[in-house]
Amino acid sequence: MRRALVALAAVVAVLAIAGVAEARPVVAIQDDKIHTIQPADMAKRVQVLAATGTRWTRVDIHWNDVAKQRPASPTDPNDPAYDWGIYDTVLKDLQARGIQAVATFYGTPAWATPGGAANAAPPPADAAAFAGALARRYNGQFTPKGAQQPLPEVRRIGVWNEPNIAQFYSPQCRQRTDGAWVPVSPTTYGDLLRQAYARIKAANKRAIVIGGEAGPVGTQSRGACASGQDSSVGTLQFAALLRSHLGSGRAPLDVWGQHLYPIGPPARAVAFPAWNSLPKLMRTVDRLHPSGKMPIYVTETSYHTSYNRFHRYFVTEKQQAAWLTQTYTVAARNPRVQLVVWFNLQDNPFWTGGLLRADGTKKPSYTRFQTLARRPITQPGWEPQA
Amino acid sequence: MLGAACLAAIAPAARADELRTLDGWPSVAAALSGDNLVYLRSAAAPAKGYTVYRTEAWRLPIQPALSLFTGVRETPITIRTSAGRTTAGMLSGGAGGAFTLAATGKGFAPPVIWCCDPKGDEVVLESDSRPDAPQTIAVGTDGAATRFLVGDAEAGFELTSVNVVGPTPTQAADYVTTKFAFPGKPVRGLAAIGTGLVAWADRPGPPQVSVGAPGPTGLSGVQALAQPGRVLGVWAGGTTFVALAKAPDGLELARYDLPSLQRTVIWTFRKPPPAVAVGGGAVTFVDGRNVIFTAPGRAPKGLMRAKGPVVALATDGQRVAVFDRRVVNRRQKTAISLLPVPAA
Repeated sequence: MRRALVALAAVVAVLAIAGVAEARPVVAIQDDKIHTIQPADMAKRVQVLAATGTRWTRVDIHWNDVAKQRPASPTDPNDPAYDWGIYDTVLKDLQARGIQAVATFYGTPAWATPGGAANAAPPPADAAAFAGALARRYNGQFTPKGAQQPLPEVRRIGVWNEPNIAQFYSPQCRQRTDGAWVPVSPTTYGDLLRQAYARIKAANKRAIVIGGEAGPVGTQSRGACASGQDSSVGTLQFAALLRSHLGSGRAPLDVWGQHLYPIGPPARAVAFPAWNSLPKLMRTVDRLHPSGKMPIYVTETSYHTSYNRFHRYFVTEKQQAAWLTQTYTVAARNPRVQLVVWFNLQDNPFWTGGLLRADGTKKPSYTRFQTLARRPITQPGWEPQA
Repeated sequence: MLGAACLAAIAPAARADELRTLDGWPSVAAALSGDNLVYLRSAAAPAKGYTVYRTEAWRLPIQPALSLFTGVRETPITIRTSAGRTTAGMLSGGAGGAFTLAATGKGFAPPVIWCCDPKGDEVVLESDSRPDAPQTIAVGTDGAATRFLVGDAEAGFELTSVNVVGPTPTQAADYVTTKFAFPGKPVRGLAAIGTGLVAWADRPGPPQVSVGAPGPTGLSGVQALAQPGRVLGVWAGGTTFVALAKAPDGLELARYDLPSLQRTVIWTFRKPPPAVAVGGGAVTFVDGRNVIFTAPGRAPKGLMRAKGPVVALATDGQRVAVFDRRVVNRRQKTAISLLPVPAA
């Protein structure tokens, strides 16, 4: 009996180790300027991305660039109002280099709202129709007119970027008749998510819909909406209000996307949201998943190495390298984290969290990332393409 | 009557029109910008197993007639880092609340930031992550341009001018920026930028201060001004600059004004003053705890005797802001006093 227990313990231990290995998140990196590259230079740029060793990337698909005019048949990717050119090029070149993409769409076209701002909360039906067109175009079976091969499949689709931050989604808050400001983005986003989910699934049954992609906003010390309609809504409050709005029944998301920019080392930073406080968020979003265990994609994280106005916390290049490795180590301790995207490939004046400096030279973090990205992918469903 | 010998003649502490306090004894740099007092406050925020260092730029509106602080403080810029300890920083006031700062500290090259564009957004003019990135050693405001001096003795120096006042560009790259090689080899504290002037002392170098006028392609009209001994500090504001130099009977603070550049010794110290400010044609400084005001054609005048060590001063020729460290109810506090300049 005792021998049997020892053997059982050994098996459990082996399975536990295997489990840890399976839980290791996919190592990915985003090049947020890739859609601005001229088609003739795209292959060269993708080669720069591929040289990092990454086999997954995140691509932002700007709805307002694709649909400068209102389409007559918005769910039809062939509608002449749509210009997918640069994204077709990006995805084909990525595929040629063995890199798969997670896509997030956002950016409201001028025609969709009275004010015409790209960060305006869109009419849900319009955004959902575009999501359907996007999912259909990149469902792996869609061959554009004049092409010989179908376009690559993008199975994982994120519905909007940081809808809890006014820079990407406005208004965040509305004023009640009693004068108080209250969050409105969780409800308007919930409506958008619900309709987009249906459209995406109709276009590709295998699609995985990422909801949230919430920006890293902590609990507001002065209360929510202290700054009026363009206040940011704290991640936790956003998730809780979204959950309330969506109610019972199957929620329209398969994965929660979260952006993490910790202040302090990955294992020790405690401000919300950070790696250590992720379980608290998970308890809030778990009820949105039929299994009660919502998978998590960290679709943005990094440490900045010099001051910029969008991330006012920075570390040295040496610290960035060490904390990049720690980021993936800490992430691997949470088996629900399936994907961690380092944001960004290369510095620019507004973002200095890159592996490459603005002049293209490598920071010490580059080789750290390369080492991690070249390890075998152990996350089920994320295997490299044949 | 100059220096410590005349301290007894200084009037008793002037009453501050308004006094506010900061918690703790942070490192501070200060400037006046229109009807605003701007200051940098740098301190550490220890956390579990690591430290976040902060430099915050605060702006307080001042009611012009009464010199009272009114309204609420705002912090248009907050810099946080774990790269290394932040120090007081460098600050230059512009017009109407605008300012340029360089956030200094150990372990990183100081970012240079201008506040703010017409939308109220800060504009990062310089931010370099390389471990061997050149250091910013001076910032200044010259009309529509903000200027900063970057470099080191080995790699050389470069003076950058950015025309920050104008249309509404959204990126620093859109501003009209000129750069040129700077002929001197100063260190931080030995270079200062004013209106139409850059003054500096080389380290190492002869006992002199050089001054030149920045133009589109370089410095023009560079003159070397002999000093009685080694130069210990250079400050500038408007068309005035001052130099602190060793002299046979102490440390001399000498004033120079464009265009004459005539040397006028305004004070003699036994030890270096903890704070000096130049602006609006006035020079204020601290000797011991006495805050002293000087202006052309006027005898030095004691403005106040601070209750604690003075860590920062600012003046625009009309008002003087004083930051001094005190203990209030057993707690460390930094008091801010705003004083009107006494009538001539």
